[in-house]
Amino acid sequence: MNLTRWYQLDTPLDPDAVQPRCQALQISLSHCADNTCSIELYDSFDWLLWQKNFLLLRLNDQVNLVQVPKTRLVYSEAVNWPKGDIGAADLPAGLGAEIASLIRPRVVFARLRVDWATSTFAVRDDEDKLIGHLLSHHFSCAGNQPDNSPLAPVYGVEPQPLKGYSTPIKRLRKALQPAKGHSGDSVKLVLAPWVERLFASGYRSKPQLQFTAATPVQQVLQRCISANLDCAQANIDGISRDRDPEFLHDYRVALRRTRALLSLLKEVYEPQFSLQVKRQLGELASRTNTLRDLDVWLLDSDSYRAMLPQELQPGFELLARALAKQRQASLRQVQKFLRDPETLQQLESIRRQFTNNDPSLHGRRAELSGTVVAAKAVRKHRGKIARLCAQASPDCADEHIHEIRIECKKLRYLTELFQPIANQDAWQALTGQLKALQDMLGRFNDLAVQQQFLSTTISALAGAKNLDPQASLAAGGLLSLLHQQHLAEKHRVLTALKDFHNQPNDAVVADLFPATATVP
Amino acid sequence: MGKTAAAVNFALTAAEDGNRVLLIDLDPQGASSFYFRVKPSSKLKAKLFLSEQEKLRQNIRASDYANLDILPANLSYRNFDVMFKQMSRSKHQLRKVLKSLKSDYDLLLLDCPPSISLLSENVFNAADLVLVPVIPTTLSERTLGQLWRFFKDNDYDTRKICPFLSMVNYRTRMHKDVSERLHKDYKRVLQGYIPLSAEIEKMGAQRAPIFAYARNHIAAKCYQMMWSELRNRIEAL
Repeated sequence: MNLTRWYQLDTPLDPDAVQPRCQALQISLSHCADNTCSIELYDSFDWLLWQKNFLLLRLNDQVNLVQVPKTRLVYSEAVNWPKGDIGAADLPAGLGAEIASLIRPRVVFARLRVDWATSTFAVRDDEDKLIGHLLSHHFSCAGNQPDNSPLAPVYGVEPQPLKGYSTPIKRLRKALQPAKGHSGDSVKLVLAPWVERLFASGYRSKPQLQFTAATPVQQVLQRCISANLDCAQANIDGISRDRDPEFLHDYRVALRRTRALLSLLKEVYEPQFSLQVKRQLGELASRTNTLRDLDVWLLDSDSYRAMLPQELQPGFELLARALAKQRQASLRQVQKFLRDPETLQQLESIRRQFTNNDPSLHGRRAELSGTVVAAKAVRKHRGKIARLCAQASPDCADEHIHEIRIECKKLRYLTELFQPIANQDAWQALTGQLKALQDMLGRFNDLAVQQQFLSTTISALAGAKNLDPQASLAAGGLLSLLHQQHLAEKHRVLTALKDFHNQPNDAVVADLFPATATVP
Repeated sequence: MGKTAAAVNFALTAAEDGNRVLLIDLDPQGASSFYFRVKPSSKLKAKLFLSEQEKLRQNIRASDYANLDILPANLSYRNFDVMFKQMSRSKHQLRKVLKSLKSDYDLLLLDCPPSISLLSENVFNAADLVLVPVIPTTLSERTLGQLWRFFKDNDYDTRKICPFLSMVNYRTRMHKDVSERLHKDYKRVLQGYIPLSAEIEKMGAQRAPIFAYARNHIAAKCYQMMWSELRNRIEAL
């Protein structure tokens, strides 16, 4: 990977136009060669490498891991990658280890393709002696732009003086470049700025909205739902191509968040309309439930494997293989569903209803300010959770704790939506508390779900005579371990729920939205 | 005699053979530098050449060819003898200078002015091989004999002397006879020879080694063959 220093120009180098400047320096330029190549930039779907200040670049058959902003080549290796997605397990060993020390991607794929054209000019002095070369670079990018706006091409010149001729070549460079031109390598001048732009304006699993306390709540909700439905649509291709389980996760979260907000912010839209949308979105999400359960199971399979003794390992492998096979079948169903024009049309139709913003669909609370509605909704919902927490006991059913978890999720979506108009310190405190509680409830729920999932799956496989006895044995061992962990986790969960319940609801809401403290 | 033409063409052949080569133009007339279109150094005066190793490096110029650099001449090099005289160990100064360049190059080729002087004696001390172009004529044969005796009389190693026949025209009886005699009298004369050729003379007009414009000419082939012979001799050192 060529990481030499070059100098940025405002326009492409035109040898005819610069001839007078060259003549003044008693220098001549003559065209030697043209060369083109493309650089492919790989990252995870959510730019994890970029967020850690790394770029994974493929130039021909060479893959390079480069640290930014001070360009540092960390790793370079010749690879024989096929075009397309690369699973973490398929990365070459050395590169895989380097990446694993930074992030834990499941898959990386080409996020950006840069075409790099270079014209080489021979530079000669007045004796017609070759004194160096001038490389004219032209970087362009076709496609992959987040907002359909092209990433503007970048031009530059790279002087390559021969030994003993740096002074005249430096004079030439100064004659070509404007006074305040940038200089640096290709990563600094092209790749990093472009990736930064893609990252900044690209996909976000959590919509980031800007509005004021006076903004009518309907406007806030409309923008949020539109962004969430965009997000759901953006993930469909990734699910269909089975690029990474996170695509399905984000798709489901986007639909769930939309449904939750329509439930919590009642009568911002017409109740019948809200109900219909929630039902449709519920259908679009529920068709992926099995696949998501299998994804979660397989993502955690390494930790399950580690829990089992050596003698149950062969059985576990058979079990894992059977579940992986089941996942493939489930994936095919989901792919079929998501590729069905009717499904896509349904999602698009819902999205259009929100983007068109038809006033006849607005509810009677549509024009209330966001801050008033937010305070009321948070108070009401947080109160509901506190009551559920108060009812939680060592004897309560898992379903009760699961319900608290669902309501906590909804409350988190609500508080995230109104972050721009909340007191930031109180917001941080509440979301921090909710996150900690949700993590705990999530662990508890995962343990319950995985036990249930495992026993249902085993029964089904056994019923279909598709299960090896060794696998049954491993499943039994695993169920027993999960059950023990589940019991231990319940004690911790109950303590946390008690703490949540003990905090006065009104005080929390008053801290969060101080301006509405007097609103009943 | 074809000294400079030989130095320039051997330098390029050696570089094309994969060696990192520095051609040092010690002749104040700067003919080697001229052939490579390298302007004479205005800053690298004889005094700096001998005393400032960093300045010496800064004045090295890349040629138009890969692996081949040139250290251009300066008119003040005509004063080398005067300067050497004022120095202690006056015959070993060049060896000291060249030592600093050894690590950067595989081969240092010195294009020397024609005479037996203090500068020449510095070259005799510094060089592993002293290439002597000899036109197969009586006068050149006599000059080689003088050089041989000078080596003997001054305790220089005569095995360093590496004569080769230059500007040879075997259509003349004299060239044939003298060539035969030289091979008989001096065992270390290279077997190959450089013919008298108009293509070699064109180097001045072309300002380039013969390989740049007549790579397939017999004269160019002769330089290449002679380099192969020379390379064996260098490897045997």
